[in-house]
Amino acid sequence: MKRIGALLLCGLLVFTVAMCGCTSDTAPETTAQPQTDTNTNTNTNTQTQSQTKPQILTLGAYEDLKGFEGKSLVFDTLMKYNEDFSPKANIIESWEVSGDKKTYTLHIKKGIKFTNGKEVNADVVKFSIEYWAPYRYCKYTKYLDTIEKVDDYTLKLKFKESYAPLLEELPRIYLTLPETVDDKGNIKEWIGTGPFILKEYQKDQKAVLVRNDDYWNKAEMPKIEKVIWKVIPDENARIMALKSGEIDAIGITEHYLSVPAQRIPELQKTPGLKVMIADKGTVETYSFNYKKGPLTDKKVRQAVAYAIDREGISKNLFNGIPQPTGHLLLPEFKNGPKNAKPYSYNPEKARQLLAEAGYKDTDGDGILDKDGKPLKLALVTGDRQMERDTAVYIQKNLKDLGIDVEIASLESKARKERAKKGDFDICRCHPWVAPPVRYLKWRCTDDGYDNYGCKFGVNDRVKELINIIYTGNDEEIKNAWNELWNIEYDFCPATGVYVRPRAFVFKDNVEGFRFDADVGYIDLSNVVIK
Amino acid sequence: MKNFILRRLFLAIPMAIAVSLISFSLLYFSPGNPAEIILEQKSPDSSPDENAIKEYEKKLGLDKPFYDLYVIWLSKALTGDFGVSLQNGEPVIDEFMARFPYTVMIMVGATTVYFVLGVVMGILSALNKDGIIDNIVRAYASLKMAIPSFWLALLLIWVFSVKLKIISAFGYNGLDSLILPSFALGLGMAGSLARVLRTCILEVMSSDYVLTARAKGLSNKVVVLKHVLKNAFLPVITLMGMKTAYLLGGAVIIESIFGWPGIGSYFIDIINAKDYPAVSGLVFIFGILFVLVNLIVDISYAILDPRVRYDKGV
Repeated sequence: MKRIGALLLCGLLVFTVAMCGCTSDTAPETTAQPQTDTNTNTNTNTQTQSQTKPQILTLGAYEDLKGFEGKSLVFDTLMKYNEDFSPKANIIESWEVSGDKKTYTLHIKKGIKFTNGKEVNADVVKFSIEYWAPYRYCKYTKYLDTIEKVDDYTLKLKFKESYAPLLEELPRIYLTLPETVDDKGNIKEWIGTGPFILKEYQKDQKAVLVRNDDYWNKAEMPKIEKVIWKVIPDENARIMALKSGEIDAIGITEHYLSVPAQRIPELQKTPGLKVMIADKGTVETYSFNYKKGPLTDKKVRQAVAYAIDREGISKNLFNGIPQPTGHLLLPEFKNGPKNAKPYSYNPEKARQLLAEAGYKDTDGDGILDKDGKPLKLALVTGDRQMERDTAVYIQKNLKDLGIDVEIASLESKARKERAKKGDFDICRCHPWVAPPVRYLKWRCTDDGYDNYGCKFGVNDRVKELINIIYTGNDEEIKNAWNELWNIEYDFCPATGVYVRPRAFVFKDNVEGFRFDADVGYIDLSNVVIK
Repeated sequence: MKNFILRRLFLAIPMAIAVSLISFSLLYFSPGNPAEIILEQKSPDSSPDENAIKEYEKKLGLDKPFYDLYVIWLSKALTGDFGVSLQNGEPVIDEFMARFPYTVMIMVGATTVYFVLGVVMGILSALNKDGIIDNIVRAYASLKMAIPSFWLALLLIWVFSVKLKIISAFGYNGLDSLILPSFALGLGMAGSLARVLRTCILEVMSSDYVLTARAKGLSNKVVVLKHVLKNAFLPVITLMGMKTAYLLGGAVIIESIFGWPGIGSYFIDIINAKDYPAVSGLVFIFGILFVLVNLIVDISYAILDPRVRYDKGV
């Protein structure tokens, strides 16, 4: 008996120690051909394949379906975005805008029904326009005077003053029935007009959606018959679930930001998996405290912007995956900084600017000083690995120039508190979004502090230009944007470092994925399982 | 004994109030605004302005001072109404009842693993003092305590789910999906239980009554099973009671890794969202539960050891 017990125990211990000695999965498989397919924003409109496999797609998700992206599978938005974030028709199939941009006539597509049979009409669209604005941070309700129902499929929106950005905000508005939502932005019943119907829901576990065979948009009718949304909060566990075959794709459900850049090369080499990386996205941006401290001097701000080795960060930290850029927003987007010159790595220029600003290393300690004060900056960033690594690299770049940098890597709420109080010199800030008009009234109206550092309303001219963008004609708007970017780039209240890599990973027997311009929208219209 | 039990039960309520006040205060005074956090969760690619935040605060009833907020919450909690979650408007008690059974499953599974393994290893180790088995068990206990449960969880997933593909690791798909989470949480604790039991058995085996039992000619099996184990188990019962809190903390991480829909992962969500009613409600409920668990431990003591009495003066 003792011997058997001893043998069992030994076996258990050997097994346990063997497991402890195993490394985690970083090495690629050696037998199969590695797949290094890095498609960049390929819109693969595959023809319908001979579909012998059940068309059931399992997505691994960080959070419950009833978060942000999940809605896009069940609910349509009133309009959509083109690739450059100009608006395009959806539920609202056409529109007219008065010359003074005070009146918008919206024409609603006929024949669309919710999955409970109720028809989409002007009343429902009016309700959606009024209800969702505060929860989708659309500013139009502040300027809206009346919404008039012209007939069952036509609405007339009248504004108190000219309001140019309406059509760029309507793609954020979900189409929902009044009785299916509460008064706090929560959806009580998931009844939509979208490509999928919520069939089964287990909170924080999984959700099962089936194709809406009556979906009104036949051109975008999914081939996938069923989507299983499986919640696996831990990112390493999600990657393992994909490798084990339990799920078909990861990264799609968190607007493509949940696959760590450091793991992308490993995943690209893993047999049976493919990685898609977007070639467009928002820019990792750092705000400068131009209201107090050493960075009140424009030359010092510009010097810091020139001192950052963006190529080096991308190549040495993240295997060259993020695209380096000194832009605040990629110029390709509508109203992006097409004529503004981005900051790029130029340490000589940075030294020259610092010298012009009066900084010298008078005591030979390697740190520049002026009037007896050393040039020391506080850099506040988040607590994710990518954010910390980037901050350390920037610290090194600035140290090479003689700028001492102290890094504070903080959890999100603590970081925001510090930013709001102005307790920073450099602060990781929220990037400019597309379409950029959304950013104006949020972070450009004044030069105060908010959760993300200093705002971009650096002078009165910016405020005048915002007014023109909201009220002017197309030519005036275009010129206003060009001038605004030039002001921002010259003033340098912030600088970009790299395009935040948006990526997702999926099994190689799944085809047809694409990035939508709207990162919160999951487009499965062309996805098939071979 | 009856008075003892009633006294302990009576003290459960003020204790639960005290911990809920502490958690409410810590959350209230920590950085962040719940209205802003919840609004941002609804649309992560933007941020609400000050007016939107203030309006949402009013909707959520958060525009009152700290004292009012807590007293209102407490007065309802004492009637069993723990309020609604700020995040989704669902009653806190419903959230608890939907999730707690899953956490209990992991805790029971982990307890079974660590109890069975720990007891077997502890007995074998004690009976083979300084032998090979004893050394192996002690080495295992040291090694296991150094390995965090989340790392072990990922390793188990990699071996059994990714490489061997013999078990599904993610989410609740029946009782077999309980195996990996239970081992991930229980294996580490088995080592410490084995060490404690080993020490207790060795202590008891050198007692006079055990020597007497041997001198009377009783077999080793009878001596160990009838006399030694019963007395050596008392500290183990205490340890298991204390481990309940550890299990809950460990369950938080394990649930996150295995996608298990328990209370642990929910706790992380509501703390991150500064959801005061939900956090305070859950802390209140758990406060009472822990008092009950410790009461059960103390009662077990009295059952196992007739010398232990909770009358006055003892």
